[in-house]
Amino acid sequence: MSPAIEVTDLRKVFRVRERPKGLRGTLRYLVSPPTRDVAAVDGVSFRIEPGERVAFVGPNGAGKSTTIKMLAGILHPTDGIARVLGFVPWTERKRLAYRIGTVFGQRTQLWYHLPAKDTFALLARVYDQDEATHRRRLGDLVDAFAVGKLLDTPVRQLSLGERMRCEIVASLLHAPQVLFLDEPTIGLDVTAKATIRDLVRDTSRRDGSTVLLTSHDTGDMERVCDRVLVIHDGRLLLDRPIADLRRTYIRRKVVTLLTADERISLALPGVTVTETAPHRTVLEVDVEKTPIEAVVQAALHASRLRDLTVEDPPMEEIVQAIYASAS
Amino acid sequence: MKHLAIAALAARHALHARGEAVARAVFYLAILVVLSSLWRALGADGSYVWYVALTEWVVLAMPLLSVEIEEDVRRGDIAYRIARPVSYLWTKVAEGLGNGLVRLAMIGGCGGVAAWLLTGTPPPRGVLLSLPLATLSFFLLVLWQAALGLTAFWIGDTQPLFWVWQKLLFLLGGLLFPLDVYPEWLQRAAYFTPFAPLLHGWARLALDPDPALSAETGLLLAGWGVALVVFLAWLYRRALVVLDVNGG
Repeated sequence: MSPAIEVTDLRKVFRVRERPKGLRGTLRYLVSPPTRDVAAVDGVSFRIEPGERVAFVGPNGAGKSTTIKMLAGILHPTDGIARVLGFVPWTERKRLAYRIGTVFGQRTQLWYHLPAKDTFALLARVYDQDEATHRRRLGDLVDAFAVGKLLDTPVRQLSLGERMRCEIVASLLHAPQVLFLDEPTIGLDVTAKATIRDLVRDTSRRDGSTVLLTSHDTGDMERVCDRVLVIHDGRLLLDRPIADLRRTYIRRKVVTLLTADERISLALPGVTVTETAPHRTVLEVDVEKTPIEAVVQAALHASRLRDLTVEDPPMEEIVQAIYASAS
Repeated sequence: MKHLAIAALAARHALHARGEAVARAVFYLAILVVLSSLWRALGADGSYVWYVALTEWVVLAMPLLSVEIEEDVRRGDIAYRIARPVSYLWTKVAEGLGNGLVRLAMIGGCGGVAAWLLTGTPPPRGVLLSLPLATLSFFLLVLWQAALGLTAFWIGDTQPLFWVWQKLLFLLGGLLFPLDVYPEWLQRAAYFTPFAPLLHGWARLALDPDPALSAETGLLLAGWGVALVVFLAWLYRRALVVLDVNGG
């Protein structure tokens, strides 16, 4: 099967103007501004299969957005090759536009004073969708995203979470095979974030669409994606399944014990108590020094357990560890 | 057809966002009252009030497309709007036209009634004759706005350029006074610029409803319109190159 996205040695260099100091420098800047080349993306290669959901993570300025803009055909690369659904994005942008969708967290495509259904109808025209197909597709998405009651409400009266659900419906209306999501849950509350993540993942599973998601929120990656690409300084640092990433980069687990005894004490190597309350103890466990089973056994020995949870640390820490090991 | 649908939705949007149109209409009425008093004091007849009512009408209905495009460039929205199977530039122009035509109707209605009340005379024949040209001129003003907006790719802040363009339009277009009252050298200079046909060219029909003047202005507007469309298409291509070099 041909890949949904294939990128080989992709490179993008921007020319940045630099304003010199002093009067002479300012005058020189006005006539012929000195420039400096900055490699925003520097030889990135990866391959994404149809139906895969991939997180594309990295700090600000790492090259995520530039890569996505090249894949959407907005920017030409300085060097390298990319194909999205078999199209070269920057030479076949218009044809590709019919087959990709984009959701950008802080940008809206909905008309502010009009109900979302008006934007949906316009998008059907823009994407050359016939009336019957539009009605069927909209019906499916309205059910899946539970936006039926919102369709007739002016967008300005929607909450951010409701608006975001409508934004994603708008991006999915033309049944894109590849969906680019840039910070789709930014600014949303916990419940709205969870809803959006589940909807994106379920829609991708149902439609078989490929998702490439950038986010600073580890929850987005963990709940939506199966694989993560980590980019830093324009270079691909890591390409792994999310579960594998956890196994490799997480040595610590957070264990919460609810015990019959008010307090318990566990003296094990690599185990630190981070929080205590009556009948509740939170431990940080270095699994290389003491495996989780040993911690659980010791806890059972110390007291009767009412409940036990084992959690991974947040993805931010994992990404930081990757940066640290790479640098 | 896509752009027609975009213009239609922009028009509906403008109908739901009436606040700005109302503010502009109030300002328009205030200007008409002041200028009609001025013309009366100068002993001019009511047709001069109709002249100003026409020029101010088109200028005040003009959408601030340059500001919208500049914001799209500054916030980076343009990069995402480009990734659609429809041209960003002509989408903005269609939005500007749809939005502006609603304002044209809303403000025009107020202005027509106000000018009638202030002059005590119904619109002269030349006013009706000028309406198709006024609409064509309005289309050109939207194109101008789009061109000014696209300069944001190079200069970032379009406001200084817009300010200069607007003042040239007011002065050489004859916004407040017909060009006939200008010194001859300035009149002659104004006729060589694209600004004279944009306002004075057709609004002078309120003073002199000569079909020959109407045909001449129509031709001039059409010529400048073709030139602007070609220029805009070129400018947009250049802007996309700048976007590519400097990033989204």
